[in-house]
Amino acid sequence: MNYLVRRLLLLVPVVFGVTVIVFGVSHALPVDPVVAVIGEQAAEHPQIVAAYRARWSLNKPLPEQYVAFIGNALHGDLGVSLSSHRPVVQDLRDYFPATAELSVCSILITIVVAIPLGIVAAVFRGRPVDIVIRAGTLTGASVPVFWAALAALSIFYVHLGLAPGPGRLDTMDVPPPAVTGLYTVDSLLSGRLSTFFDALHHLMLPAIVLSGVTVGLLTRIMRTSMLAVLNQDYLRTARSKGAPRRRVVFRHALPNAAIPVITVVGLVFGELLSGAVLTETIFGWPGIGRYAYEAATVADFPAILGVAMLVAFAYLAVNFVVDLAYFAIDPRTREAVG
Amino acid sequence: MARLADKIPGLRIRKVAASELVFVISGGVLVLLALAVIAAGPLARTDPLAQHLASRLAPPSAAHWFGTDELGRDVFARTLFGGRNSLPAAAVVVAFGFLIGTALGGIAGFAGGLVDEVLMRLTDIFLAFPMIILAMTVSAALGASLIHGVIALAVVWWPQYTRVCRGLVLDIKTREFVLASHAIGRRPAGILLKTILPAALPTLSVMAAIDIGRAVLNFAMLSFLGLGARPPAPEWGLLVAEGSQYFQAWWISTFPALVVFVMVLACNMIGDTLRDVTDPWVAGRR
Repeated sequence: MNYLVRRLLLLVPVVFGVTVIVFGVSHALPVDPVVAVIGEQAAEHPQIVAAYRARWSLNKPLPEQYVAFIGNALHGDLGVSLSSHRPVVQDLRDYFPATAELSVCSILITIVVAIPLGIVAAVFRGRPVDIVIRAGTLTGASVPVFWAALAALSIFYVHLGLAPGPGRLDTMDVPPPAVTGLYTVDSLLSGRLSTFFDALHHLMLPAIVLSGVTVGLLTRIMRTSMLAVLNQDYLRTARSKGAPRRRVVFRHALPNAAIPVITVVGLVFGELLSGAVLTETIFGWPGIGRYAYEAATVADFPAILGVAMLVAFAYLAVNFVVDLAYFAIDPRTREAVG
Repeated sequence: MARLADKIPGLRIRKVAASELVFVISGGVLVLLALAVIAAGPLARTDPLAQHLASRLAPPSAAHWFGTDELGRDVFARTLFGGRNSLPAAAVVVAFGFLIGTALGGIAGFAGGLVDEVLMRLTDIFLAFPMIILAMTVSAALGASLIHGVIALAVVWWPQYTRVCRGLVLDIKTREFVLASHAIGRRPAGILLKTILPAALPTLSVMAAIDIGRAVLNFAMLSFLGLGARPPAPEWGLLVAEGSQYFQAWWISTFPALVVFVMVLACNMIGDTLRDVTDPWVAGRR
């Protein structure tokens, strides 16, 4: 328990640091935010500029501005997007579920594919199966995701017509009533099966492309972890006591080998987001990755900094949960910290 | 190979470990790639910026090995010269990350206590931002260009080196030769710089060398999004982006992507073989 409280407390300065960096970057920019927001014509009139500065506390010293920034953020105000002219928080709320759906789908695909592959590669180490799997994972981890997305779209959509067009649903379809924002879950909740299958159909290709990279990484981690565990003496003991191979692998080796995998899932979340920016942009998926890209190209700093903060916090939260899981599963961490 | 030696009496072949073969081949590929990029001028035989509008979007042929793009430029030449932007950019990013990360990690590991905690929190903060979002922000703030792309990526590249270096220093500083340095009264700064860090250098250097592949990939991503190298300068990621609008002319995007793939694959394979050999648990009972 003490360990968890300590971890939580250590998060606080990190969270503050994130906000400081976001604030710092937004104020270190060579772009004058006033001109960007009120337009060049209004910028000619000093009274308007002064009024704007006073309204947003831009004439106060930096520490006060930072406090105002934090205060605003805590009230759910992250500024107004320069391109959509809507509050950034609203934009994020609109686009985040799409990315969440894509990421979750990707992680599920990754886990379902990578864990068995890793186990097989470790158990049959050195055999042709292992070599094929390792070659496959190396390839998957090395292929540039932006090219893979283009190629997948070209092959499966343009030439084979298997994948649907851009977006989360067919243009004719109406989104299900929003409960979670995840079209798959919402359509199931409201009993609209055709919408569910349509959403799933649209999810498949981007999710598979996104998971291409992470499958490679997770398989290799699973394999390495499994190999390290398989060399342990306690397994030799189990075998010498007559335990069948399958039980040794699944009941004795696997639970211990799975532990580093959990940590990696947390780390992979960060990789997923990088891949999501490119994949979402190429597939026209309306998520925060594409939102961040479009914001960056037009220098819409409130938007991109809003995304940066959201993603940083989400990453910290995911890793904290991973730590919790680690703590719950691995008795060694509980003993080590007392 | 052992069986061949059985069949032919007197023939003795050393059984080459697969990992050795992989290591040598990967290393060879990287060297070839570097040489090709260095010799891009004579090798390409064409100016990468020269437009042959008569033969736009031509598939690979004897005249243009990788075909031409939408402006009639030779894709082979552009790919080779692209390496002159992609590779140095990646190398600078890694070098910067290596220097800063090693310095901070060394100080953190050596000093310990509050300094260590503060530096580790700082590292955590930077690690919380996904690399690409932060790089995009910096690049957008400074304006997209090759140099600004390098700066943007370098800013997010150092935390991993800090973590690794700190771990190494924590381990090394307990060894006898370091304790001996303390015992004979050397200044702490001297111990850190001349005794501890040199011991950590091999591991870190290997990590940096392999990292260049990842840096190439990330810089290509940034350029693909238009936040790194700008047209008409060739850069591998940028070339893929330029070819994305004419994807039926697959050669424009695919060949640069293939080069990036080969580079990253070779670096990954070298990293894997090194890890397989050095990690005692994975190496197993040998």
